[in-house]
Formats: sequence, C-alpha cells, structure tokens
Amino acid sequence: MVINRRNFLAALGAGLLLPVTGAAATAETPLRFASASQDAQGSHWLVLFDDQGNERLRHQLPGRAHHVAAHPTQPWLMAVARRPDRFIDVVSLENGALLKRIDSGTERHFYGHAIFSADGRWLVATENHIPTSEGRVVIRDCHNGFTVVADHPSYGIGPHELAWLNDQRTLVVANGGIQTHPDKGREMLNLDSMQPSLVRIDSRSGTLLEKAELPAELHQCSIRHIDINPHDQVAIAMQYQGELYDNVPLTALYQPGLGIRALELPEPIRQKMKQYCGSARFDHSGDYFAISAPRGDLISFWQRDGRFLDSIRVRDGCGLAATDQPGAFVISSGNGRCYHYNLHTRRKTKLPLAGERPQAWDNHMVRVS
Amino acid sequence: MMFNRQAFSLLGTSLMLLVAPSLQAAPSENQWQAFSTAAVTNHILPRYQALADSSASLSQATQQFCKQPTEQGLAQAKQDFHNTMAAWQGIQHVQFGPVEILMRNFSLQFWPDKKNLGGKQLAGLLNNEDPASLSDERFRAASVAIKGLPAMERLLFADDALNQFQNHPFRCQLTVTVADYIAGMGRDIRHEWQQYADEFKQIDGEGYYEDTTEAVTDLLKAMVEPVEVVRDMKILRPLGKSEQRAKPRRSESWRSERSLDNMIINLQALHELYRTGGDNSPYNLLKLEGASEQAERIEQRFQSLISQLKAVPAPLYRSVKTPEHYQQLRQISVDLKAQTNDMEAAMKPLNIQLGFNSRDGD
Repeated sequence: MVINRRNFLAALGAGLLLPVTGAAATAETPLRFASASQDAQGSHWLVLFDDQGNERLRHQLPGRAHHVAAHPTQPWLMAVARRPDRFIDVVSLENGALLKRIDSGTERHFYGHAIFSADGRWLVATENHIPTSEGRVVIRDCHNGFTVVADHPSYGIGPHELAWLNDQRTLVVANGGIQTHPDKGREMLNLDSMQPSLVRIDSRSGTLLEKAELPAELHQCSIRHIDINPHDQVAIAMQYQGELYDNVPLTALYQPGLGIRALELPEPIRQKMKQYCGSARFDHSGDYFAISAPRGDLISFWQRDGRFLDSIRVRDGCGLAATDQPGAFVISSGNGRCYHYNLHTRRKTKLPLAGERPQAWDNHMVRVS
Repeated sequence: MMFNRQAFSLLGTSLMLLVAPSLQAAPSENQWQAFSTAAVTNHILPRYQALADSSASLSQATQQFCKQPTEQGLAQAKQDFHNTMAAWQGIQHVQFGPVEILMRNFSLQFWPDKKNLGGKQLAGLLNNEDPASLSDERFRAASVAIKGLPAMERLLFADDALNQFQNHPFRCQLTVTVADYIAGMGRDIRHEWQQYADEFKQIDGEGYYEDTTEAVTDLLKAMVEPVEVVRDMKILRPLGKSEQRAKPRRSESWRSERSLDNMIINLQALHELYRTGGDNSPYNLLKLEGASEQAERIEQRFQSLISQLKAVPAPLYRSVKTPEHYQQLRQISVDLKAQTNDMEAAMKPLNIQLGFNSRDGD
C-alpha cells in the first residue's frame, strides 16, 4: 500500500512528504520566533516562542493582529492590527510589558503591516484614510513617542505589506487595490475596478519613483504580500479575486526598473493554491523564497531567479520565517503547529512547540534574533 | 501520533494544565478514526460508485441513441442524465481528493456559468461541425464549460432536441463525446478513491494526513461548508433582490427542471454524513461532548429543511416568480443560514478548527 499511497501523493502534486520525525531542528541555541495568534476562546495574543518548544512571552492584544516585527536595536516586539482595526502594540521583549499602543486615529485604520527602519529610528505603516479610501504610508518616530513625522500617499487603494530597498531609503509598497470601509466590515467594494500595484516611494519626500502593475486583464490579482532580498529582488504573493477556475499567476518577482514578472509553476500546483497566497519570505541567504497558500494547504519554494523548486503540504499553513540557515524555513499553521523545512535535505520536521496547543497562528511570523 | 504524545509529555506541567481540559473534552483518536473510516466506507465510496455507474449508463444511452435517434432513445438518455446529475449532487459536497485533480470538479459541473461560457463554446462547436474538435486530445484541451453535465443538459433538453439530433449528426457525436468524458471522470475518480480511502482508514502520520484531526477536518468541512453554497448559489441567486426581480434562469439545472431535487439531494447527503458512523457520528459525538441540544437542533433542522424544500412546487424557475413560494424560499434561506451557524458553532465542542488563515485571511 505504501507504494500506491506515494504514487497517489505525487499525482496530487503534493510532492514527496518525508516522514515526520520526533527530533526538532538540532540547533544548539534555540531560534526564537514571534507571531500573532488566536486562542480557543477567541482572544488575540502576541507570542514569542522558540523552536525547542518553549513559550517565551505572551501579550494579550485588543484585537486580531497580522504582521509582527522585532525592533532592530531595542528589545521591542510589535504587532499590527489587521483591517479595520486601529492599534499597533509595542511590547518589551524582556518582560512583556506594553510599552506603547499606537492608535491610527478615527479617520484611519491599519492594514496589518508595518516595518521598522534598519537603524531603528522609524516605524512605517500602511493605513487607510477612511473618508477618501486613499492608501497612506505613515512614518512615526520611535525615539519620540511614535509621533507621526511623515504621511505620504501610497499611490493606490488598499496598501498592504511594505519593505525597504537595500538603500534603506526607498520603500516598496504593495497596493492590494481592494477598497473596504469599516462601516461595511471586510466587504470588498470595488472588485470590478480594482487596480493593484507595486510602488517605489522615496521615504523622505514621499515622491513616487515607480508604479509597477500587471497587465490590465490581471487587474483582479491583488498584490498583497512581499519580501525583499539583498539584491533588491521582491518576491510577491498574490490573491486573485476572480473565478476559481481562471488560470492566473499567483506568484511574481519584481526588481526596480524591471517591472513585475509573473512566475510559472506546474499547473496542478498552481490550481492547488486556490487563487490565494498568504505570505512571501526569503530565506537567510536571500537565494530562496517561500510562498504560502493556506487555502490549498500548500507551501511553495522558489529560487531567486524565479524558478519553482518544490512544494510541501501544511494544513492551513501561512506564516513563514527564515531561520539562520540557507534554504531553511519555519512554517506556522492555523491549527497551532510549526514545521521546519530544509530545501536541501527536503526534510519537513514538526517543531515541538505547537503540539496540541489550542491556538491558531496568524498569517505572519518573524524570527527574533 | 506516537510522537505527539511523547513531545506532549515533555512539556512543562503548567502547559499541561492549560491544555488538558480541552483535550479531555474532545473526541478521542479512536472515535475520530471510527468516524473517518465509516465516512469513506459508507458515505463517500458508495456515492462515487453511483456516479461512476450512472455516468457509464448515460454514456451507453447516448451511444445507443445516436445509432438511431428516436423519441424513446432520447427519453432514456434524459433519464440517465437525471440519474447522473442526482449522483453528482449526492457527492458534490466532497471537494477534496481526486475530484480536485485536473479541474474535474469544474469539468463535471461548470456552474454557475455567469458569462454563459458554456452556451457560447457549445454554439461554436456546433456551428463548426468539425469532427477533429471531438478527438480525445482536442476535447481534453477544450474549455471546462463544455465537458460536463451542464453541456449535456443543454444538448438533451433543448426545445426541439429530437429534431436537431436527427438532422445534425454532429450534434449527436458531440453528445456522445461529452457523455463519454463525464463517464471517464466518474470512473477515474472512483478508481482513485479506492486508494485515497486508505488515507482515512489508517491514519498513522506516514500518509497524506498527519493525524486523524486533519482527515476529519476535511470530512467536516464537506459537511458544513456546502450548506452556505446551497443558500447563496442555489437559492439566493435565483431569488434576486425581490420577487419582481427574481432571476429564474439562475436556477441550477433549470432546463431539466431539477433545481429543487438537486438541493434536496445535497441536504440529504449532508444529513447522512452527519449521522454516519453510528456511535461515532458527528451527531453522536456532539452529544457525548455534552452538546445534546445543539446536536438535536441540527438534526431537526436537516429534516425540516428537506421537507420544506419538498413542499416547494417544481420547477423552481416558476416558483421564484410566485409570491407564496418566493416567501417559502426566503424562509428556507434563513433556515440554511441558521444551520450554517449552528454547525460552525458545533465545531468547538468537537475541538475542530475548520480553518483559520484559509477561511479568514488577509
């Protein structure tokens, strides 16, 4: 039966799943990760944990969060509210104390993503200006009580994830293109006319340097999640708002001046993604990236030249983080599990942490060094 | 599962205390394994067998009919279409496994067809009358909109179908080709499920599913989520915003006048799955978890939904334009919504997470 089952798995496009073994990654120093989560009672948390099964910190959030990040120089963690909520919680890594709760203000809400600058001075968030539905990119001063020092347009609707180019001055922002209004919850209001884009913005002046878009017929491919490597290559995970049977790209690469290039992958695997990718992350080396597709229970792996490498099955898997090794990732899932996957050994290992723990890991995870 | 327990016992006492109550409360591995085995053996496999059998008959009937197109032959083909559609409606709720491969789910029934792709593609084929377009290779590459049951229905249930078949041999060849393609999918899915079923019967962490919870989650999703599909696609779309603005032709299978039958079969199938597994059925497990009231409410509502649907006069496309029946259908949509809410809430006592990032991501 084993042979048959294996053949069948291959036919499903699930790739070869190696047996899950007991030992976690045998790193001597535990790697730490942070993610937002929801527990069985529906409460929301920011959690710091390590790959040896230890929870290091737990902070209760006022609502559901999305992206989390560690401050580059201070012992701080932060979690960003997903739309249409208005908070960013900044928490002490040392004792879990709430250091600051940033409120976007009543005319604004966050979109679930914010990043620190490499020098630790600035916090940059994507926001919705509710009266106009205009996307904003707002910079706050970490040294001065997180006061707003710049408020730039995102040059699109529904800005989502953002990243710094390696010059540490230029921002890349994914404008998902989807209009929502807090009065209508999370309902999407402009699916017929949405115009997603990936823009390059000068963080100091707010000037638009480039607006990259997909061909017009792909305007329902919402560009939402991105990550960047040391070569200024941007990996893109998209969510298609059209029909399930349409054959559209869900993954892409962007480079300044070279536009957006849709990536190819075997059609059965693309179909398994169910038109929905949730997170994109480069590995430690920047030579490989992973893109998760939680609706398809699938994580795909790519080379930085855009070549598809591999995919594995992870039930409701979405959060992705690089480890300290090239070609290695940690993946978190909505049913509370974490896995380590190494592209070179093709070995998938369940981390001891999650086990049967009743909490759902939210879309994004980050390694905290 | 061995590993989980070992790792679990290594965790600290405080974590044990935190987690233990919910573990105790949830159905056991053995209970879920029993349900999982029963669900594939008694529910899924027989239903795919029915699809394979009925579609094989449909294929034979169209071949027979096209040798000499008679009234009687057409009636037989129509009857076999009804049987095949009934079989598909009875297993349509399973949207995982072999039916997912090669777009089979869309090919079997491309619906709703909002842009009338099926109509346009079919008209194109019929106008060109090119026998080469029916070759295995060409047809396999054709649009999903013309490979399945809706295309079959258009061909068999056209107003002057017999006349057209008699005067246009190509139309008959196309019908045979489509029927053969449907039968091929029915056969292949059933065949592949013979193997896939093992993934549910012996879950040891070495196969497709990591543990029983994962396998059961697929099964329970197939029980819960289609209720909303029936409501949104099969009732609310044709009902439209008001009685005056009802959209009869948005009804599923309106040409063969089986819209209501389809929904009755859908709900009967979900109800059966709810009761599959005897002591280990979702119904019974809910009761064992102390949620008897919930379990009974869901049970009663399945029964009442089915009888309410049976009380609506067919065809649906006429009833949506009748004040009395429009209201009946509205009420059914309200009850379907309540059923969705109750079944989603029932996942908590069962300790099943249908999906977090996959169902409510950003």
